[in-house]
Amino acid sequence: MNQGIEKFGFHGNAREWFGIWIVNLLLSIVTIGIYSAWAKVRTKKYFYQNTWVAGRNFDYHATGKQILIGRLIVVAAVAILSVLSTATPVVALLLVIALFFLSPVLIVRGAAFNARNSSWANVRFDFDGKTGQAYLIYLLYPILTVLSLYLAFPFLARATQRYGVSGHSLGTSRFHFESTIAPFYKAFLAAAVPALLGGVAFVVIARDAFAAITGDGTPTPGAVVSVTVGYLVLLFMSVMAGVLYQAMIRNHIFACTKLGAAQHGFRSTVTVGRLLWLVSTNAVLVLVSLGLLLPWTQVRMHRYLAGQTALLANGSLDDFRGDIIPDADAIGDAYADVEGVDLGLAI
Amino acid sequence: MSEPGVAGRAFPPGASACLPARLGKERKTGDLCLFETGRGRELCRCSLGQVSMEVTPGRGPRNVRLPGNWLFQTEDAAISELLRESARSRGLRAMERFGFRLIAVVAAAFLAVWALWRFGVPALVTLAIHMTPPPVIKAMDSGALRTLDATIARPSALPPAQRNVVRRIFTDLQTALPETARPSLTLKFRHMPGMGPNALALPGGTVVLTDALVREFAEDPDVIAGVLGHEIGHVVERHGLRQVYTSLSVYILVALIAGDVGPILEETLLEGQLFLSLSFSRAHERAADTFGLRLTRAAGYDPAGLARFFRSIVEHDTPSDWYSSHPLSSERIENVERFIEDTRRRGR
Repeated sequence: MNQGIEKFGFHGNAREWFGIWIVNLLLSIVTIGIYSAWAKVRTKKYFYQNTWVAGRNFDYHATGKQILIGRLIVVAAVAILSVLSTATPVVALLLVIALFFLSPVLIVRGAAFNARNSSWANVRFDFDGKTGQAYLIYLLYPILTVLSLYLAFPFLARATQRYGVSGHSLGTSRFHFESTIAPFYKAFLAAAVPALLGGVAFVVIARDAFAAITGDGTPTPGAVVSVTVGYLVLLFMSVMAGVLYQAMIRNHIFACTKLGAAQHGFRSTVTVGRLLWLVSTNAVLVLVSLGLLLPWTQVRMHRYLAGQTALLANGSLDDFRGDIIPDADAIGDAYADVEGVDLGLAI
Repeated sequence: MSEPGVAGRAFPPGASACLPARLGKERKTGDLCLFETGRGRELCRCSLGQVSMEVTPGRGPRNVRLPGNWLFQTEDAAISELLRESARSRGLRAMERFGFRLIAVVAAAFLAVWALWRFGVPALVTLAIHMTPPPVIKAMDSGALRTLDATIARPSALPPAQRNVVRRIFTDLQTALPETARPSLTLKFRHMPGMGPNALALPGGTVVLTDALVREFAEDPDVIAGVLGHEIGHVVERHGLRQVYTSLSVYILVALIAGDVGPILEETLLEGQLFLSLSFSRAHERAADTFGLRLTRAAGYDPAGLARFFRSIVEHDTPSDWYSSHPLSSERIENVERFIEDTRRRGR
């Protein structure tokens, strides 16, 4: 049996991606968003096809037409919903509640569409998470978490990751995720420290300013400065909390994931310092370049994440098999794009 | 010994195993043949029409899909010629190639963003307004009125005589509208504590005046006419619906086109959209002012009435208007005066 560490690698580069990205943008704008469906396909294909592991790359197979149809349906629904909500608040409320109960279905459909249209080597992925389970994880547990004053949040996080990872398979080989709760609490508490510090710092810095504003209504320039400074500190600390959490959880999830009967393993070695550096410098560079450096920052992030990821092969990687499961229903996928709601996998 | 065709890798149907292979065209039949390199074993044979070149943005390896889900992957650019890649696919890749040419694409993209904002979105919004069924627009009015009555509005306490004076002005203005562009308009009176002299227009043609406004300017019909003309302007030019549809389409376009820009930037874009919609709203106020001035003059009232109204509320002005939904009253007074000056000059 051959055992080996197969490192992931990203072979794309910023020059090439810039060209694809700017043409995507131009064509999407001149077609009032219609080309954005094909632009999404080209984007995903570029990043998937340039991500390699064990000498084989990934690929994305959805077509622009499928994505466009999904998007047209979702956009029409959003438009009708928002017009009705200004017209008849009662009907709108009912529709929002209906959408609330529909969202787990859409999340599952979006994940399935994405998985079935993704491949590694010549093997398609699949997602077959149960819809009933999705109702628990995306509707019931979040409510219980709020009722627990977020103290039970790590249990929700573990359930979400387990559902997302274990629902996926590569061909006929299933992914498995099993973890104790302790690492989730550790990440949660570690992230709570900068978040709380940021909150305290904001209150301390901006306290006098708030007193001045409530005093006579017109803020002094000094008050504006201190509120701005306080807000920037709070923003940085909350980004830091998010990055800290993401790094710890990502490393843990890869360590706890196994693939197939051969029990292939995974490893992620992302560090908090490096990730924080990338996230904050990327944001600054994109802002000062009016967005033109966005492709460069995306490649930089992708290359880092791929480079810190490895497949711990436990035997041959030539034995994956699977059929194509046709999936052309992109409504859930379009819903994820428009509303930003998806499985919530921390990868 | 060199073998014919393009060198690459072959993946059996639905499998992760990978064989060194060559794809070539057979001289005699013109068929395409996939061979395992070295052993010469034939893996797949088909006609040119049965293979498809898959989309590959960038210079990564090209994927070729063969019948029965065989996959052939190659780094050799000669595959494009062998399989006669479509001109559209080649053209797109040529356009995307990095070079000075891309500066033109960048410039075109900035220009296109501006054109989309200036012409594309308004065109989409006009289309959406035409597609909105009139009963829905009517329902918007009754829905908004119900919400008002449930929250800040109380029944009007104005004496019937005062209401009739205002109704007469309202009718005068309505009849001054060109017959082809005369929407159905309704006038409502409400007592809104804390709102002061105020008026608002709903998308379906309902105009609401506060008791405070009617009381304060009961002796000055030109002011009432000016305010009503402004609100009718909102209705005729469909400002309410335009704002709903504009912010919706900007939101959707940002979500679909900007795509994955990271959490911080997405926040920035959405905040930016708020400022854009505020500037949009100020532009609508100015347009309604101009419309109202023309209408009041056409109905035989003095346009200076609107300026008198703004003078009464000028003390509420903030130092700057960039975070406000309305332009500064001082600026609006100047606009009214310029309008009166212009008409006087043209009248001579």
